[in-house]
Amino acid sequence: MLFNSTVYIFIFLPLVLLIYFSLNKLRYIQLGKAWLVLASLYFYGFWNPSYLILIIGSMLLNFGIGNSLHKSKKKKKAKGLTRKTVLIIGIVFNLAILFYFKYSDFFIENINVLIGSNFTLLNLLLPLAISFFTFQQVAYLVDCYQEDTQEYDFLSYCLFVSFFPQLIAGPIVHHKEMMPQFSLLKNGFVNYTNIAKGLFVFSIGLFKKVVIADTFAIWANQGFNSQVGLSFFEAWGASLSYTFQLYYDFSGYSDMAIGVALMFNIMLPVNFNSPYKAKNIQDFWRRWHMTLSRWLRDYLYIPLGGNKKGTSRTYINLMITFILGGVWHGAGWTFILWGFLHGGALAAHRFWQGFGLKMPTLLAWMLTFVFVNFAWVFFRAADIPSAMNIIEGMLGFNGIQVNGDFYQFIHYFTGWLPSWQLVNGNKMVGSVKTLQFILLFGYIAFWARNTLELGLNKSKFTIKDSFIISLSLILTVLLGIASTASEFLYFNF
Amino acid sequence: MRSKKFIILTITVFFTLFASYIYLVDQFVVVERAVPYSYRQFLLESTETISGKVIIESGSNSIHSIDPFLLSDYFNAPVITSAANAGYPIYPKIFNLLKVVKKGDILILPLEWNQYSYEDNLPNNFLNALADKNLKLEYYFNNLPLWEKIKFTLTQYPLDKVIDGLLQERNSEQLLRADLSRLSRFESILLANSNQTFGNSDRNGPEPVEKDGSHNRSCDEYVLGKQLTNGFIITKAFKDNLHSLKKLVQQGVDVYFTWPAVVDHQRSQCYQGLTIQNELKNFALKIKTIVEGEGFKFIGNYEQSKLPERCFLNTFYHIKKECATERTESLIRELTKRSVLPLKGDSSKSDLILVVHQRIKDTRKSLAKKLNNFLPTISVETVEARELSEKLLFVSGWSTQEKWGLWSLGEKSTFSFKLEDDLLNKDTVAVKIQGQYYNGIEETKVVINGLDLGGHVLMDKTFIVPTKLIKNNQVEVQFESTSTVSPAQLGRSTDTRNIKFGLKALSIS
Repeated sequence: MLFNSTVYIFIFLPLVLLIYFSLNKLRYIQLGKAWLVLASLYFYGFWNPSYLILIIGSMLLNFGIGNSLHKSKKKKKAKGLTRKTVLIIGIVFNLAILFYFKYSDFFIENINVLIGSNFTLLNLLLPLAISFFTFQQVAYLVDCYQEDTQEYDFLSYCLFVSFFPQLIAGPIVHHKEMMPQFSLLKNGFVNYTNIAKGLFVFSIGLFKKVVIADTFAIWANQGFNSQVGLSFFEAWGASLSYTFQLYYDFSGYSDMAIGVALMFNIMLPVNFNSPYKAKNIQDFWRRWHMTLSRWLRDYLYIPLGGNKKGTSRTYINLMITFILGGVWHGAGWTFILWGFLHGGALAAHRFWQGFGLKMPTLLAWMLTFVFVNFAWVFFRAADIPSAMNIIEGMLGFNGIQVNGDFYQFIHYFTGWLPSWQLVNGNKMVGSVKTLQFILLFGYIAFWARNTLELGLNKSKFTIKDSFIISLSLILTVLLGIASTASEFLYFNF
Repeated sequence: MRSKKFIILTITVFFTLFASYIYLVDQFVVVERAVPYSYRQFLLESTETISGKVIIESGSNSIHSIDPFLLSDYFNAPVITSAANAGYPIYPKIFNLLKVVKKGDILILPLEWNQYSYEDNLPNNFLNALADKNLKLEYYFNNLPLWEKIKFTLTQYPLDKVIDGLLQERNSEQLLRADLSRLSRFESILLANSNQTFGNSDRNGPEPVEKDGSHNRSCDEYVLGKQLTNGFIITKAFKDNLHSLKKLVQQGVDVYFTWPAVVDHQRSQCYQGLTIQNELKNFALKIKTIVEGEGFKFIGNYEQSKLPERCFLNTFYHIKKECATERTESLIRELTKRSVLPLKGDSSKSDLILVVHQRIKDTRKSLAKKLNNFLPTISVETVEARELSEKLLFVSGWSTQEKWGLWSLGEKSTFSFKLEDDLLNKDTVAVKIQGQYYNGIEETKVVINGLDLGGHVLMDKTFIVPTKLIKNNQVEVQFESTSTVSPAQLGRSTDTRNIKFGLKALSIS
């Protein structure tokens, strides 16, 4: 079920809220929790019920391993095995499932290329949210091993993993920040302030997704699916469209997740903090998909030694962390290259910092944004040649072609009469509408206040807020007519 | 504001905005026309009082393949074809029919193949025409019941189309004037008493092949394109339509299905492709089973509706008028076989013509009344030729405006205008008519506001009208002409309009 579908907004969510709070009001606290787990599993199985076996199996096994690590806190051994062995078994088990479903075909393809073999691809359907719930549970096991958790009942554990607002595409939550909230009795009762805030944040996210991201998606798809080389403005139009699509899509999803969780009195961690305002690449990663960055830092970069093992090792650790971060997003060389580029950029930034030099703020921001935009091309493209096709266009290797409207638009605002090649027809990203959209929503991403600032800290609501929420919900219904609700980009990861 | 109050307010705002949106679409986007754009729709709406009529509904294939006279003789009842583009969805057509059918009516559906495989999304040509400049298909929306309208607005009518409709430049007066002039066209179709009168085609070719796919695709690709691309599937949309059709049955209508007429062309024969030969029989059987499973009768088989090359008009679904007779005879044979017998009603073709004619007259009257509100008032002045259409309302029996003026058409020609208040303070007003006769000078009978002024030669004639006859500042002038003649009859051109007097100017003093 999609957050932006009418079934979810007008049927599923109100029904789950109503029954959950009613059960709690009648003091059926455990039943309320069970209802939430059941609703979450229904939400998950809505796409494909066969996925349910995987997630339920994964929860059972991880809960068992976590429990065994708990019980062996003092004994140093669990069921005859050392605690470390149990942890390793747990991690290997999680990663093996992830590898099997997500990376086996990529692995087979590369083996076939490397040794000239002809192993058949498995063509497995990627279970939804597998990357998210795997990482969440690996973190749980590590924390159990490090004696950084308390013991919880199975129902609470299931809720921690499957809680539907964050199940599919995060934020990647930490048991420490979730379990106490699920256990807090007062969280089981209606809190109108949280519902109001949640509704407001949800509607902002919905607007980001349905109105902004889905519009950018049209141009991004056209550009990235193009079979011919794109000219300069088309290539920039396509890449910037994707850059903004991804941001509004994913941050829209996170807003919706945070908003819905808040209606249940659960505060999810913030996932985005105006990342395109970042003035360097480190700053970008402190603002973009913050819970993934946190996970990579806590469970990969620091265990690798972080910056404590000398300069060159720090650079290597950064590269490893980001290449694996790239791989986490998908099985393909484009993701590896994207991770490599970001790892390299972070290493370069660290190197630059070593000289104590400072760049003018505007230049630093521009450099960061342009780099991120270029890197997204690899993230989005089907393969490296397709990415290079876009990059060549962006660098002007395919010339500059515009249609009449675009030319007039530039001339009207600048008075300039450039000697660009004029072409007939409605050239996709060379259209004025794309440019207007990029300018408007670019401005919002660069300078406007974000959802966190607008909604979560909100203490007073006005009729204007009612209109914002209502319009957002109505637009979802109306824009959903032409196309059935579109999936979120991060569902693929 | 307190949170609880805010939530209640938000819910209220949400539903208010939703209701406003639906109201906006209903009142300002898909605006209801006084006269539907299509003659067939006008025909259908006009016959709502007639019970025991036969209606043919489908795509354009039925427009070309039915001989209404033959079918009417068989059924002993008036037959009308209300079909439109087969790409349009069926369910608004069903609700459209629900408004006009009476107990004892018969509905025959020679649906085209694609109508069994409709997808959920409505085609753009349908959505655009709901609220285009001429509101060509507004009636499909406006004839939906309220709940269906709401459902349609919120689930089928995309926002961009609504915005396009809202931004259309429409002028109420121009729409009403267009309605009025369309009534004249409808009247001439009606009085022709041909196939077209009953919603069918009089076209007998030869015509060039239509560039809609008939020119470069095979017959199979043209008539079964959807199935060849998406598979031989009967979609949910069609099954839902079957349920909606039951509403008609509940109103006492007998509903029959039959197969569409398709026609070979020298370039391509129908139903000859390998895939079609393998799949079509089963597909047709599946359709028949589903349709009959819902309690409807299916007439004939699809091979019988395949016509030879000589019948090709301009597409694989359009046949010549002469072949419509063969096809209708074959349909009648099949109807007899399945015991679909003549009706015992007492309505006939001529009743239908009378009813529609009356409707034209009534509608004209009500349009004139509405349009009078838009007319500018005339003071002591001469309305020159080029201004005639702006300052006068040509209610019936007039040609369109030409540079020199307008021709009166047929035996009765009426126009009206509005006078300024000052003129009504006097006892009389002088109305001067200037013009020319087309073929010989003759007296024309003149009636002004119901006052018979007798016969006059109108080339330069002034009439004195008592102001007590003038109500609401409105003057209605009627000319009654004899021995009208068309340029075609005189061998001057191919123009078949029956012309008499040409109005060049009107002066008030």
